[in-house]
Amino acid sequence: MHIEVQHAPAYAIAIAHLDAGESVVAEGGAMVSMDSHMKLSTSAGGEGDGVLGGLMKGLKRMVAGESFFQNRFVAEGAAGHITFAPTLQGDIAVHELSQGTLIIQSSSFLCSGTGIELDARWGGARSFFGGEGLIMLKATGTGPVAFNSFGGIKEIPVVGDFVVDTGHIVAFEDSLEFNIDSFGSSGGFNLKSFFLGGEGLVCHFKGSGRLWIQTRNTQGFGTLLGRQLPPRQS
Amino acid sequence: MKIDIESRPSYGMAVVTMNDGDSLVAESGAMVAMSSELDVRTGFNGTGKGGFLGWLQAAVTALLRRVLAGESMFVNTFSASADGQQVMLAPEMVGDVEKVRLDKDRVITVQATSYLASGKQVVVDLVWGGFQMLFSGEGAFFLKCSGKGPLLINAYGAIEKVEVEGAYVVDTGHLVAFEGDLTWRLKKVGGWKSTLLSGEGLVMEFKGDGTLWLQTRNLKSLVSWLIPQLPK
Repeated sequence: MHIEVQHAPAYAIAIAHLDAGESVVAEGGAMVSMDSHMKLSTSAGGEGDGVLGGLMKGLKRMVAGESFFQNRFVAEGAAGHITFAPTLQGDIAVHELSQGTLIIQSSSFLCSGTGIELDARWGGARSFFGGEGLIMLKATGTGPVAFNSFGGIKEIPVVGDFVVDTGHIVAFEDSLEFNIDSFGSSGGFNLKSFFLGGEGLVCHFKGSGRLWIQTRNTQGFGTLLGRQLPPRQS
Repeated sequence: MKIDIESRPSYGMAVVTMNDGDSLVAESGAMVAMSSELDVRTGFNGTGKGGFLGWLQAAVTALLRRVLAGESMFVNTFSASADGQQVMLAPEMVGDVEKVRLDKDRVITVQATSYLASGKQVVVDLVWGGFQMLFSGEGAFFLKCSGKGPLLINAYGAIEKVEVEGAYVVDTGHLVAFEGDLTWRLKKVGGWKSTLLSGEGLVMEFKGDGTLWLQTRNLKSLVSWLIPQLPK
């Protein structure tokens, strides 16, 4: 299977090309179009998980802000293709996973090949205050993983030390260590920068590995637009 | 200081690579990512002369900017302590980012919400656009940027650069920035009937020779399109 990206960077879609019998797992509601022999099965777990195992996986995903059920599309009998699009405008990146682990901010996951196992991962209690995905998805195995951004995606080869606003993280390799920190704290906690700097919490990456960031922040955009709109009536 | 703009034009982001001693001031909330060794200081979006009175002057200026121009009350100053340290900056709104270089002969006036960041030597003053701007439907204040160094501006949509020779007319909601040599006045497009019915409202007429930056979309129009779409 290979995943191709078109219409990048503003309105990217992912086109998954499957051999006969291959399948692709996708975020609920992401399917745009497909060959008519692609068959959808919706379940909480993966193949061979059993009822209880499936239930647990579904619950974990729900906690991660994903849907309880997962959509799996199979190319039955013949090769075929299927296209996926994220909800918001922006770009898509495809990462070929062979060894190691990729951590994906939960709302950035789009689709992945059969050989990829997805698991919810706790980002640490403090990331809650960062306003973004309290939980990240952990992808392991072999195959392609596609993830989307709000705005453009920039891949950064981190070596050493790097700081990212929590609202701009898309994904990163597990070889990077990270901890959530307050903004402007390089010389100890800085109360003023934390409360007034407008950045709140940032993620401090250490080690070496790849990191993908997005050039816009859904929360920032939402706040900007929200200020212009009339109040919601209950 | 080297500034590259990526993800253009839909979601422009400035990637700033600094040399030892370089300093950049950015609107609060604009930082996307940075080298962890960069020094960050948060301060009022205004300057004072030192001492308590100076502090008070800076605080009042910052508050006025927040209330009058919709700017951020605080700004962050990023300072490099070695060559090659980076900071990436992006606005909240979708659209492009443009860099402009200022020197003593080049002053640029920016529509307040289009300001993203500027070099340490750039002086940013809040200027009153005149009573007429109160009727423009946009903010009545501008930011006058002078001094020496880079200036980063952002827009909703793409940024169109126009070289004005003589006179040129711009919708108030599409203005991003203009060079100091240009003068302007607010006027109607056509007669009163057109002003009320054409959907163009008031426009700014620029006179002189200089560069003008426009945005290809208008936030007010987006909002007035969006509101009727929302559920009751």
